[in-house]
Amino acid sequence: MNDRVDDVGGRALRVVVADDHQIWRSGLRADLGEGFAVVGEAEDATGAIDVIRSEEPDLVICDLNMPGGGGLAVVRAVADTAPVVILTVSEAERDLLDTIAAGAVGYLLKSTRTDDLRAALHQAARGEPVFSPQLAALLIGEFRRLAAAGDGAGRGTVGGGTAPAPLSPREREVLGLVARGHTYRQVADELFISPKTVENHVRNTMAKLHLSRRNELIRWAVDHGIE
Amino acid sequence: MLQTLAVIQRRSDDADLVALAAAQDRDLRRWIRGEAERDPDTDLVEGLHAMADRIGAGHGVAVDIVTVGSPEVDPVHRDALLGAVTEAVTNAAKHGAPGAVTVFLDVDHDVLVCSVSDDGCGFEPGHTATGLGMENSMRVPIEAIGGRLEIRSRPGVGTEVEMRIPCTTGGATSGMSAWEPGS
Repeated sequence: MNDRVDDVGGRALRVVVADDHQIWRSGLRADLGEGFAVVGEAEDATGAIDVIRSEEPDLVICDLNMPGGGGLAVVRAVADTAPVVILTVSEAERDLLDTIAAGAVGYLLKSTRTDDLRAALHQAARGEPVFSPQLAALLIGEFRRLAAAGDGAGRGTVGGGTAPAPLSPREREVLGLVARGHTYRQVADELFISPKTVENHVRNTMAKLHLSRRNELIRWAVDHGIE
Repeated sequence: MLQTLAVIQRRSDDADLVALAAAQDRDLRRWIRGEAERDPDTDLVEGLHAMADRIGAGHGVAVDIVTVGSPEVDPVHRDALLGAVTEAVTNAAKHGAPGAVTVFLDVDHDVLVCSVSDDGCGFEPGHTATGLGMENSMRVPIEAIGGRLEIRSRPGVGTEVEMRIPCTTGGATSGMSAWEPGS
């Protein structure tokens, strides 16, 4: 057990870093600094899954595009046992939605500034969902698209599936403030609610999106004659 | 290549180099997506990015542009908004000593919502002559196009300037850029 002290939990967070570029892993290790102990590194999905299972870290920081199935394979294999944050250059909607649906706790862009990155990783280690503002904006767009699709010509219900759960006004407000670059604490202050409630709103948003994706898959399967 | 540009944006202290990397990052992504180059003089989002790079490099502050979908507005709204946002970002970078400034832009139900948030030192709204002066220089052009402007600030927390503009004439699109309404 590592006995270095950090400012929140009394010890450094034990993290596994998975990325196929060695120089990125070293750079990240340096940027993480004192509050983190890198207990394992991997350069592909298979290696990452192995080291995560043996080390049981507090948090996994994982690239998306790696050999062996990429970050998505890692999330699918270990999301139940360790929180996984995807750290990637990809702003592609599909990458974000697929990894959330698979159970990633966060999705951050590699251009995230070091201080913000450290703060977000500490949040993620506590199980709080974290996203770069650009990606919160992408989620707002995705929910709007789902709502529009749900309104149109009965496309919202197929084969016993239900229309995508709309965001509550409060959830939309919270997501909007995250997209504006506010921290959860700032969102909490602005809306006169606790940071924990903010976290719950974001988590519910993710759950609804997950559900919507599943409904979309069912719809697609029915449309294509797959029972 | 995107990784290298991300490393530069994250780790370099050279504001000019960071701005160059951010611009190249955008160009490369656009090229990957097969999109045509947009003119910062006529396209609102491109104009915002160009402004962000310029002011960010000038003051050594990161200025992020966050948009929902691909908002498009007519030239009159665009020019008024770009002017007010430029003023807000300049004020934030110059007086707020922020770690970062985020410009958020969304068009929803024919209302264009734009905010400029920073995590700088903030001020007591209405308390300083500077605050009132900069408020008026942003408020006038926004109200001239039928919009509303609100400034929220708290010492030690930061400042947010929010603009809401009815936007019925611009053929605004919202939602995911890949999504075609009615298709």
